[in-house]
Amino acid sequence: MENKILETIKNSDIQMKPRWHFILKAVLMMVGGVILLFLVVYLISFIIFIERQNGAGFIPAFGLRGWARFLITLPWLLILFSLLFIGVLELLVRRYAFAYRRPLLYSALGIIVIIGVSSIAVDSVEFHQRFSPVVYRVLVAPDADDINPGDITEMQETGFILTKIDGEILHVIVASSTRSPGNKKFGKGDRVVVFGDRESTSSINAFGIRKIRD
Amino acid sequence: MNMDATQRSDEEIAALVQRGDVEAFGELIQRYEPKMLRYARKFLFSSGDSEDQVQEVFLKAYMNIKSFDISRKFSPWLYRIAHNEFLNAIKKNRRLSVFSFDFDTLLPHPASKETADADINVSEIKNLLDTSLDKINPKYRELLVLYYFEEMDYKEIAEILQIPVGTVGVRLKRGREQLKKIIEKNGK
Repeated sequence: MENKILETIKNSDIQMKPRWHFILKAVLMMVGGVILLFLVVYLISFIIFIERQNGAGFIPAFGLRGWARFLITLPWLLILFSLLFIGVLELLVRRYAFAYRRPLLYSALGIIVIIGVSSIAVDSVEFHQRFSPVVYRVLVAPDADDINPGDITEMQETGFILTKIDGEILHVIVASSTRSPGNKKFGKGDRVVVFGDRESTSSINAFGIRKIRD
Repeated sequence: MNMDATQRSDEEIAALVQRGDVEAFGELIQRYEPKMLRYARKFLFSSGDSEDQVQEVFLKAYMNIKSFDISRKFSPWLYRIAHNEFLNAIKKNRRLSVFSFDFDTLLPHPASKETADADINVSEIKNLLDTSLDKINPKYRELLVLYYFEEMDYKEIAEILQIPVGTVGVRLKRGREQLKKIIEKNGK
């Protein structure tokens, strides 16, 4: 076997790969991993941004109905892509000794923590407010009539007038059964999310109201 | 063959090969051919010709020799190439999924000790393995071969298979249990 193999090598039937081939491969993998990481952080921070913009992130406070609606309105396609990219990132990371010497759970958790912290950090500097409004309007136009974030512009006897972020004006009817986490009082100028069915095109029966900001 | 090469370590010879000394590669082939053939025959069984596979291993090793870090041990590096080649051969013949998920590596396992009484059982187990290896799941078979026939320790096996050391202990235990069941079934 030795002679056969050496003959194959000497006849130039196979070639030794040059060192730069392996260096380039390692660099490309690292760059690919970094790009993937940035992509996942962008996607997840964008999902957080979406949920805050359209108000759906606040409605689980209204119990089972709020949770059900929240889950339905989640951007599942973006979540699916995020999970896919996280999976690919995990496969890349597992090629390195610091990852494969430990159980998969550790490296997976490590990736999730890094992505989670980075996404929250990106969201906290209002990155998407500055750079993603167009993406949001084009790709994630809110179509949920029952989830309405906005500012209270006028208090009334039966409720209040809400001016939504997109400019729409709604009359919010507050009943005794309307839920309000922490039983907070609302006033003019407060930013709130109103969850409930539309009575008409310009009025809403509030199932729940949650203050986002004073 | 250069007489000097026989006194060099595997890593020193690999460094010579990296610098273009093809004949030095012959020394590595001489040293590892019997081990690779044994590893192949016991791991592959009917999944392809062992000699052809071992030849492929050495050719792959030569092609990729410049990726070998001479500050590390040569043996696990070569065995890793062999592992990949043999696994591909098994998957090709058995049409196994390339993307099968390995649950053994998911969670931490309590540290498995290489038992002190292992010496007493080793020769007995080797004899039993020789007759029953083909009936054992390839995932456990490979570990049994590396541990009992190639006489590697848990750490070396973990490096070759790129799995945690704890997983090596778990799989060896399961491999021995599977062997025991086969032997009991055959009434040996």
